[in-house]
Amino acid sequence: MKEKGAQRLFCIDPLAQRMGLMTGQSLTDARAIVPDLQAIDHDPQAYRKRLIAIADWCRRFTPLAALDAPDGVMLDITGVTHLFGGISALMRDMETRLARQGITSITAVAATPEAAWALARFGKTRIAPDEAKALQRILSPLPAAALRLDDSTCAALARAGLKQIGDIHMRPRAPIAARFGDGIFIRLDGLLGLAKNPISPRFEAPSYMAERRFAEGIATRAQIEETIAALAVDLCAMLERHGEGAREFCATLFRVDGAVRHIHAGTSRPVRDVKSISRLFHERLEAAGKTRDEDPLDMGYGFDIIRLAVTAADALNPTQNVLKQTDTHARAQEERAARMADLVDRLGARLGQSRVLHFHEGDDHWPEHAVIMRPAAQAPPKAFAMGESFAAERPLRLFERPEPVEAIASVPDGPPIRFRWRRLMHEVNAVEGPERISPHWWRQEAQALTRDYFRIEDTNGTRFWLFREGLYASETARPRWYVHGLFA
Amino acid sequence: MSGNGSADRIRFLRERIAGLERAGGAAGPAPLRHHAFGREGAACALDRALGGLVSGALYEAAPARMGDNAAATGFALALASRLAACDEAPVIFISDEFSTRETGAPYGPGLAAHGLDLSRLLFVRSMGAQDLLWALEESLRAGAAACVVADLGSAARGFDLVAARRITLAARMSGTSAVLIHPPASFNKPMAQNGARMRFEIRNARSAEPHACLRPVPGPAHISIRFAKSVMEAGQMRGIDTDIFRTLIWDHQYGFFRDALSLAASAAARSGADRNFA
Repeated sequence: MKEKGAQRLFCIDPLAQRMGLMTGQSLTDARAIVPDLQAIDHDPQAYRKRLIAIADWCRRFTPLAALDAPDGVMLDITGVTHLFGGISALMRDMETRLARQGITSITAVAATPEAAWALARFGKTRIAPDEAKALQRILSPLPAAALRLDDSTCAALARAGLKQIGDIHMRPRAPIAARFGDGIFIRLDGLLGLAKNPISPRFEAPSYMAERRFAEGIATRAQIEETIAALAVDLCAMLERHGEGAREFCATLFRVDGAVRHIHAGTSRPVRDVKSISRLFHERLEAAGKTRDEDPLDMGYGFDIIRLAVTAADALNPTQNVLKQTDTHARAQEERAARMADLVDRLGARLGQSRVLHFHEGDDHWPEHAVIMRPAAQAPPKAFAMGESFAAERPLRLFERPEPVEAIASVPDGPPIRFRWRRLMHEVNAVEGPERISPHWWRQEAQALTRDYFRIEDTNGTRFWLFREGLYASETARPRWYVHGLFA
Repeated sequence: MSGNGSADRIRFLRERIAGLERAGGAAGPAPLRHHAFGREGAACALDRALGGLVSGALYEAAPARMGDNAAATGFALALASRLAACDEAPVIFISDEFSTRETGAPYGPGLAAHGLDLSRLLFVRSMGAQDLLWALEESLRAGAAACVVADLGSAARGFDLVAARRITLAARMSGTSAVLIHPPASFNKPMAQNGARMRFEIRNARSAEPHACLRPVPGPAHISIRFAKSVMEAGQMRGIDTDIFRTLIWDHQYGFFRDALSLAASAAARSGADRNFA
């Protein structure tokens, strides 16, 4: 790490610690002590990424895991310790598992995040007692730095003779607060359990969650899918009880070697159907690694925990049995709508939701924006009257960018007689136009020129949508021609 | 015909196969539904020659030349809108992102002007040939739409007999028809006999007669159609000329095909009340 021009040690491993090196030491000094020191450049981004990965991995113990930058992870283990055989067993499990990943860790448990932070870094006891007096006794001898204050405040406190937490705690508060700021006592109260400051977990605790743990990692996709289907059964039972259906899912796969993979899936309507859920994840797993923004699903040595959580849910009423008996037509329509929604979800899961689209009416007259496409999973299609919006003829296919053509017209502002498009000459047989479309003149930034559109049929019978860009003489001296679309 | 009893034997085998397939799948094929190309009571050349459309079948269309691409799309969508006409079922249009760059992307207002109901149209942009064929088969299996139109583009190379068989089966089971648009001039070279029920080659047709002094106005979509293949039900064998192009008009307003009159006659008709330009 570079600081004030000198290269300093940012982080050291236990071996280096034993050799007497310290963090913050300059590299030159460290080299003087250990000549063959292996120094690696500090990469803050990679460091942070690794820390985030560890925080995510820690979610195997509790859903509430927060990043505690720069070098810690804060877990809320309220109510989960019994699952791992008590607090000390949980800590041991965590430390050995992290060690197996090559990470040296120190864990501490306390009633508040501040106390846990202080104990992990400065304390001898790792598990703080619940009783206030005992806690105070443990915390008092800790240095003032355990309050997690910045270096200058710590130095100022030290100059004032306040070296330990006990020194600060036993003195009247007002003079200290006046001199060093309120921050000290906010930290102190948190430390001693007099005030509660919540942690901000990386992910909200999901409302519905199910998981399976395996003694040996499972490493085939079929097994993963089977597990997800089994978890879906559990989730659906929970959803049913609350009368809700899931809109978003997150499957979390914990790999044996510590890597964590999240797979998200969304639906266009609340679902509570095991088959739909497992099919959705079948497509997501199939697609993993195919789309640009995803890494391939690396099985490695297998996954030992698979967790399925519902991250968003909506009310879903139980199926109306009455309707089923009455109107067969309405029933068929409803069934078809359900099948369609299911299909949209599956296509979206595999291809990406931005590739499964509905057309919506745009509030713009410019040809490119007259109709907009929205992901089908987000908004239901709306019926709109085309006859009113598009009185004029429009082409069936539109080029993303109008393609320039060389056109010959008898008069500069008249329709063309012949034109060359994609290296072929087209003789004009029939013409309709012009239809003049003005750009957004009411917008300041509008740069576009007026377009005169013509519907043109060549002698082969191909029907083009041509336009001339720019009004002759008033906007441009040499209007250019483009093919914008093709009619059936 | 039945002198050697081969017709009986074939019928027996067909029934046997149908029975086996029914036993294998969860449900039998969806019931067939017939749709005419033209308006009721006004059969067009396609109805007379082919006897109409059947649901749950595979139809293929290909432009005859490069420039006829839009006409082939128009024809495929017209078929889709015929198939979806009777019970307001949705239509799914699948096209490949890469090939639409070359041929132009489907344009909403144009689709609406062509007679499709945009609120019942699902548009899928696939990335690559494999995804397109997957999306096509999945859409057919879901049985949620009346018709799935797929612009094969570069996926046509991967569309082999196995793929065709899968799609034919999926279509028959769900009752959803498939209309595929092949790349230009696909039907000029001999093609494997897949399970397609009908195969059409499409060409643009002039909608206006050239005039010596004044420039006519282009008319509605005129499409020239050649029947490259048509499967008939037993006992329905009719001679179809697979060489000639027949010109038809797609009436986008009412959503049916009609025979094109000779251009001179239609020009005379159009000068009347059909197209009024103020």
